[in-house]
Amino acid sequence: MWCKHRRFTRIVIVDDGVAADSFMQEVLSLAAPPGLEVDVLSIQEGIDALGENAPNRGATMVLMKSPQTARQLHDGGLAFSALNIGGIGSGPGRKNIFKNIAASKEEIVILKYLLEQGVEITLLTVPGEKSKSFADLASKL
Amino acid sequence: MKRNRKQVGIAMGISLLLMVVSVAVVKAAPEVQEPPRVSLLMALIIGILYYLSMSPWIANLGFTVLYRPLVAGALVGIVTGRVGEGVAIGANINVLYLGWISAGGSLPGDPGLAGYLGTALALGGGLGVEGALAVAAPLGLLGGLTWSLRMSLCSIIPHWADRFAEEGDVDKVARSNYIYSQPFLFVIYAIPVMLAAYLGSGAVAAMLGWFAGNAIWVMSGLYAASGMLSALGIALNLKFLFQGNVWPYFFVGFAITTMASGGMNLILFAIIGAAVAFVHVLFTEGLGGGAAEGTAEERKAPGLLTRQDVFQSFIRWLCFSHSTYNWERMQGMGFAHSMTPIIKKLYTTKEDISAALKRHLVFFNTQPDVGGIIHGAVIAMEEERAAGADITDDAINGVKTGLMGPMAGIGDTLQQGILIPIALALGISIALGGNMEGATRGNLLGPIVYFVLVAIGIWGGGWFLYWQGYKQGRTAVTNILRSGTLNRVITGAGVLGNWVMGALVVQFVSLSTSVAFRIGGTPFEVQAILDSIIPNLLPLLLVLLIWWLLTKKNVSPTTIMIVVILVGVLGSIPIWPGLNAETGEAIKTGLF
Repeated sequence: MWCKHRRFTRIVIVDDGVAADSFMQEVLSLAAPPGLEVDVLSIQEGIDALGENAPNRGATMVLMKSPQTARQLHDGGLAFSALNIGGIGSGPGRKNIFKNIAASKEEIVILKYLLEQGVEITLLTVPGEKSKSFADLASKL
Repeated sequence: MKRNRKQVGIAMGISLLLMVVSVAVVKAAPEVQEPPRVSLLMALIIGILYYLSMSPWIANLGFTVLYRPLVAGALVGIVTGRVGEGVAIGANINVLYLGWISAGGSLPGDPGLAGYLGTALALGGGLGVEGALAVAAPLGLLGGLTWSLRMSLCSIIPHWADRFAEEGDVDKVARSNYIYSQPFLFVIYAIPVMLAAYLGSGAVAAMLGWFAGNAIWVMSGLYAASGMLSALGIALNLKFLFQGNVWPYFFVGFAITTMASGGMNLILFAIIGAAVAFVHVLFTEGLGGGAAEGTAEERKAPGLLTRQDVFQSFIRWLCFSHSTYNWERMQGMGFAHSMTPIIKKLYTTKEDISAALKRHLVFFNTQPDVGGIIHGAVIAMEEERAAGADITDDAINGVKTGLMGPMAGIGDTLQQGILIPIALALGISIALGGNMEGATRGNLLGPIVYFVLVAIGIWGGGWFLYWQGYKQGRTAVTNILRSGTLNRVITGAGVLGNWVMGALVVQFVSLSTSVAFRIGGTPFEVQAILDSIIPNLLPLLLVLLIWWLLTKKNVSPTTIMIVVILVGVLGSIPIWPGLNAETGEAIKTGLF
């Protein structure tokens, strides 16, 4: 859905766990719509492959499982300017901050840190709905 | 376990009983042609039906069948004693929701509310078939309010379930999923709809009566808006269909139907479309089959579970996957509930049972029918674990969280993007006898055909995937995906979808202009000139315009809906030049 909405041609999934799991890699590349390139990279590979010096390979959507990964990418030298948060599940020690988006205390600290670094953070689970700016929420968390 | 089965049986019994009561009400209702008075009992039944459409009691056919305006209209028609009109009104309203997709826990508009309340108000208010959509469409927007309330309040229940899991009480965990949320859902769904249907139809009737006496153009405005709103429904569907190398079939469908003057049997037309889709897939993707060979290895099951156990789990998931749907865990409660028969069979000590319950009460969200393959795989892992294999909580969790996203994407495409719209298009077409304009009597066979198609897809396909997941373990996913069947189905459905949508433009969108004037002595009728270029040109352009606004300009469907209604009503103010059809005199007319 996201790909049709924003016309991405390539998806990069940055996650150390999935990068070491060949079964999940196969599932993800088979489940992607035809015509889409899917790459699964570890955090270090992500920093190398998405940095300024890497060749441009078309409109790319970068997916991460958690704000922790986003921070590691950012601190590793990948200076992205915008980040969208989709649905993140709740559980013990986590609270819902917007609809079905939950975050732990640690993750809120990371998001606030990224916000201070000038990253524009939005919350949106499904394309086409109204997105919420994290900057508006941050003061209440 | 037996007790649980009995409860499911009782629930189904209650649903059946309600249907019988509805039929009894029909028998009692007099056959007159005035608008039916919606009595309090009728309103109550309509409210209960709306609740049932959002409830778990009918094996996942609530949301996929009862919730659709085509079916809702028919049921309201039965309740109020106007079956034919109810079917026709429901079918008309449903055109707006042909491309309606609820993904990732969002609810963009509420077809169920538009269907039940919209039909009740249109029937009870005497608005009739042609104008129903203009009343029902704004109602659909109101549903979002109850949705947020439901998703927030149901977030409390998982915390009760956490406590029961701590105690290792399997039955209480199951009950907290399928019972505790229901009284609350009944109150927020059934009661408001009952009151609105009871009080609203009189208000609508009074309002329309006033318009008919004082500003008749408002009525023609509502009719014009209804005809144009259908274009929004089709354009929303095209958002997903009109792309790749299958979009030309949209114009083929439009052209063929126009040449047949709209009076075409859509079933036959769809059969031709399916054949064309097959040929298209053959040329673009090949026959396939080669890649799948040698991959279907079967897992060696330890033999602790029988097919019956897996089926028990499947039935619970089929019915109750969404009964305590909430922002915090989404379908987490449903997942734990579906595992209860398995946990009971596999584990005996309180510690093991409690640990297994807690393991499955966590966040989970996928598409229920295709996602069932995950449950099958998880059951297989639980079985091996109970038999002594070293399978960690992390491994089980990894399969669940890793697969739920991809399966949701595939499942939403197959069910909400392909199965439901195509089954709806056929059902609607049968309901209106293939000829939309002027069809004030609908055919009850339409909603029934829709119900059968969806039930086969959801029950049959759902069980197939659940069982494959158990038999093959998690490799079932890659085995099924690798065969390439999925892509061929999606491409073929894209062809058929475009083909049918093209026909629907002709059958459902009505837009024509009555503007006419004289130059010198020659009458100059705009519509006749347009028809001489391409018949149905205005409906086609309207659909393409809305599609363009939706996809290229990111205009929201709600904005378009409001603009269309305003244009329809305001455009009908008689200030435009026209000609009297009989005498040829110059008069003032509306745009449409």
